[in-house]
Amino acid sequence: MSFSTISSLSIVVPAIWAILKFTSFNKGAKFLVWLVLISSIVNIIANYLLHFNEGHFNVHYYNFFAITQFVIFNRLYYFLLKKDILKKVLNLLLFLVLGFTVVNWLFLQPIMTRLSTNIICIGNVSYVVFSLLYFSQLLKSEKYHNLMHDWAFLLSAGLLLYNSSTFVLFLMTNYLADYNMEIYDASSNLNAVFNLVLTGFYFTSLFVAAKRYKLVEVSGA
Amino acid sequence: MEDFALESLIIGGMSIMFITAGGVIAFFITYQKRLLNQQLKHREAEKAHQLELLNANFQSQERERNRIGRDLHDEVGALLTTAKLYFRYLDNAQSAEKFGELKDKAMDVLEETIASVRRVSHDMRPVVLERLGLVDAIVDLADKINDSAQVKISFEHNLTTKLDFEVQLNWYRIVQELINNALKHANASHIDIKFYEKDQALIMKYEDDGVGLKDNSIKSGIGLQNIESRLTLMKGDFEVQTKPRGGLSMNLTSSIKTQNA
Repeated sequence: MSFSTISSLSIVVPAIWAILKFTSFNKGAKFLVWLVLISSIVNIIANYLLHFNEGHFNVHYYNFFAITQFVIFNRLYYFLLKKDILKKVLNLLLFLVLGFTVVNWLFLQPIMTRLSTNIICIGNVSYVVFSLLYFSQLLKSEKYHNLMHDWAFLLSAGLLLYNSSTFVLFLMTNYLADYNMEIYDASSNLNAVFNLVLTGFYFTSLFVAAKRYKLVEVSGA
Repeated sequence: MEDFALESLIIGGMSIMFITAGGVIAFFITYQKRLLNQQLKHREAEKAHQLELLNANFQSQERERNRIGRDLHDEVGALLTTAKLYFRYLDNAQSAEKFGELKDKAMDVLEETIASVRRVSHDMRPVVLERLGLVDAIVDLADKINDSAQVKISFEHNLTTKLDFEVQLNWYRIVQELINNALKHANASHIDIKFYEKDQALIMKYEDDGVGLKDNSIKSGIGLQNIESRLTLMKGDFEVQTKPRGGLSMNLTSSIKTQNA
């Protein structure tokens, strides 16, 4: 079993934890739970098809997952961010990206045969922006609390780390026509490392969310 | 070679982005911790200050109790003891003339005792303030001091709002504290007090030509802490301004709390 496969299947660990602790999560954390569960199923099926059913394409599962992931994170940050204007922007973005996804699958990158790197790139940038918006909200908040007890902060940190780096990979994959497999292998190994880091953050975030730490207000300011 | 450069570009780019993102998160955590520490320090300083004010308040109350206790013991107690003695001698008076003389003396002592009790109770709750209000109480206080011809107090105001009695009492005590300070410690010969209302605030400008305040006595002096404590109760504050030729200049403010509020 290759390192990339191990990395992609590592999501099963937080998924099992999420199932075991399902009733402990609040509404916001349940978005992450669903994402982890869907991600696990997609990765198991995609890896099964890749290794045991080689004639079968698995790319459409990843394409389906890319847009599902976008919808879930969009709704998750809609739940986390407080400003009305940001909520409106998230709604508009969801509408635009869903529309573009249909166009992309029909005319640019067919869902069954090509990886939707356009959607993945838009997702990467969006998640980085969502994370930074959440950080900014935390800084402006009058509540200062232990960040290690804030599951949304841990999730945002993981998303920022993973998506800012893999954005480069998918951008290159997207725009370089003569991209060869050797380069892809080298960069996908690095991507697998970052993916493990992201899975670690998912797990930590779910672990903290299940504990339901009370975020105590320090300042009355 | 081109492939190698491209591979390096992608891997290098991914690594740089990863490190940058890590840097952003580390910066955020550090910044948030610093904010938290600042908040905690601010709260602790605020708590210490409140404790200092509370302490000053207790000391002031204790000083006031001691003074009242001393006045009662030294004046009223002594006078009542004297009166008791006179009454005891009344039994032994051998003539009507002597009886009348002792009775008059006992009555004088009792009169003096009544005056003494009146003075002590007046100090505790100024009658003039209760009957006539803040402005007339300050005028009365200023008149009494001006009568001594040692110090000249001038007082101006534009107050029209009827103030809550507690607000009046606090301001009266503040004026008393400042005048006492000017007379006892600052050797002032002229005191200027101005009261005026502005935008739902009561502002007092105080000036004297005494020796002024040393920097470190601004916060440590119990008198000034009392003033601050009273102003805090009225959602107010004060600032001390330095005068080039010495003396003390202060601006004190509080909110106007009307009787109907």
